[in-house]
Amino acid sequence: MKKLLSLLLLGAVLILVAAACGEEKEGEKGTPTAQPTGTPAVTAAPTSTAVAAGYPMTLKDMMGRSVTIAAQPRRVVATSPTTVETVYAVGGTLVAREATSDYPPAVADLPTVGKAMAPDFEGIVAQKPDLVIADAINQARFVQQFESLRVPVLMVGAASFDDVETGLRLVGQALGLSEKAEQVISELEKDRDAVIAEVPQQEVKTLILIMDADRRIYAAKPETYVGSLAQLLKAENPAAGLSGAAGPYPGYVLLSAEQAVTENPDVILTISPAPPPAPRLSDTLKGVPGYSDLSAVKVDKVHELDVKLFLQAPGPRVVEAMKQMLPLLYGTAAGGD
Amino acid sequence: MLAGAALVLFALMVVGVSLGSERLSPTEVWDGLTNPAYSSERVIVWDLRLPRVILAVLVGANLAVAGALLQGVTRNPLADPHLLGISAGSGVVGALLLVRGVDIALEAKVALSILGGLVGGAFIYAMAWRGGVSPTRLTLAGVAVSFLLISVTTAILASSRLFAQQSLNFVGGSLFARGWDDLGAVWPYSLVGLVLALGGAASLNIMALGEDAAAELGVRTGWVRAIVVVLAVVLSGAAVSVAGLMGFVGLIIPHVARALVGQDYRYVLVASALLGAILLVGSDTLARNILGETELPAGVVTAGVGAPFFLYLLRRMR
Repeated sequence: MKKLLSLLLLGAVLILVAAACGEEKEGEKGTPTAQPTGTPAVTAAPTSTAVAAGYPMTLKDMMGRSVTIAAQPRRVVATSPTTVETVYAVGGTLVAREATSDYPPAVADLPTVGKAMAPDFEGIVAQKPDLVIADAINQARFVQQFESLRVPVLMVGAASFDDVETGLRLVGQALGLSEKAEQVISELEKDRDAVIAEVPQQEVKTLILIMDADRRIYAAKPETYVGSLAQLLKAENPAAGLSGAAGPYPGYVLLSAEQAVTENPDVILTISPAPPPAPRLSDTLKGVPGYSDLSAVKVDKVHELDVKLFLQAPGPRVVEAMKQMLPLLYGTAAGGD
Repeated sequence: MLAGAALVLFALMVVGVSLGSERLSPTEVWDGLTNPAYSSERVIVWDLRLPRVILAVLVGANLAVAGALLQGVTRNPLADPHLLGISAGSGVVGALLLVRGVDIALEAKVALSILGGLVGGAFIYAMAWRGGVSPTRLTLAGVAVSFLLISVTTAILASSRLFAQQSLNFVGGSLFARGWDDLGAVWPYSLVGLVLALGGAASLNIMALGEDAAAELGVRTGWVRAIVVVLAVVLSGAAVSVAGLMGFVGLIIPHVARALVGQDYRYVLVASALLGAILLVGSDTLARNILGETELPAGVVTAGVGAPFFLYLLRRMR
């Protein structure tokens, strides 16, 4: 009996020690800058001439939430690649970023606060932000936890070109950078129209495929970011009419090989979420049973899309994404293959 | 003994509140707890860590007591809220809510989870009924229904799988991103369930003597069994709704409790509550801290900690 009790206490002590040791590993985490609380991080004042007038302001974010911002934010934290890029696109700066975000290059040195799927809430608080910009698409379920941080939280997300504009406008307003935001938006529209003008007259049918961890293939419907861009580029996407099981990627529908063969797209675009050295889906697709019969596979019209531009970081680089997609869809007719 | 356990629990709670992905000094932790003025320490300690630690206490106590109740009422040492399909009903509801992204109040989610458990429990009862429900039939029906409902849950999660992290947290058991709101929705069920369970301890003691003996002593075994199962469902349903399918606690802790305090259910239930809380607070703290910025599901740690301990117990027993 006594032995058992002492064992129990030993167990409790071990837990304590292990947890404390786990703490010390933080130093070896490899994040660019250590973050003891109270460290003044880099705060650059926004460069536009927007005045502090307009604050306090109440905005409606992209989840329909009412967000009140008392004064021009000086310490902003963004918790997903999309939100990080949006802030910098309107000329803002951050004091901390999501861990996998790497664009623009200026963010590389910022301290990190967890990943989009698993935000580091304590890390966010420790940055003493006056505004947190979180992702409306893949962090919606954390809204309550974000709100418990007692900082205004703006939910912004991008599943289409229009969303990108809305997001830029919203973040621009929130940061007092509306002028710059509108500039960026009209440039984006101009560039988008220029890309669309290059779309050749031919018709093209495409499927945009992704594979999950269990090696099942999903096709992107037009309501996904990548699907909406394909639609802008006037490609026909038969996934629109498909009803299949949903999977780990919202808006992507499970595709069977038979369905793929029935639709027989002219071009297949693929996204491979797993980083190298994992193989690219464009290379392995011909090995998937049934897919080797597709004409697109036979004439080698299976092209890889950049996973960051099209899946992980939808946002201000939308026109760059369209420019990448255009020649992949139309081949030499669009001036490149 | 119980006082010692309570002390260990308190110590672990203090540790739990002091450790996290942000390093805080003891003074900062103390400030965070006592000074309501807004500061980052306050938010971290009071809004992020404290509700989670308290929730771990309740979830651990809930699951352990539910396990003890079920082991008592089935006279089966392997009874566990998850094994007997009791929480599987809550699991189905939890999976559905997760997958549909249903936007209803937290209190409603917890209530639905418990309702799911009750439906599961009722189904088990119906299956096991033959002029009454014997412990053996209850166990067998429970195991079978449990497998059935777990496969339903898996199908729901697999056919509409969310980002892997989410379903992993649900199936593994995790308190990630749980705060005061979740605590507020759960504690009433915890309080009522634990208090009522304690009230039924005397009856459970008598029922341990055997069906006939208990009946002769005036215990209405059918009613007691039904009420105890309902209590176990309420306790584990509330736990599953905030922590997912946290394993091992309901199975192992009652055994540890019995080894420490004997067979009297009045003590076993209290000890189970304390020890369950200890296991979960410890596991959750470990899960949050051992990998730095990323979190493990706490359920992985309860299994990792609980299984070796259980094996040790096994070796000691005759």
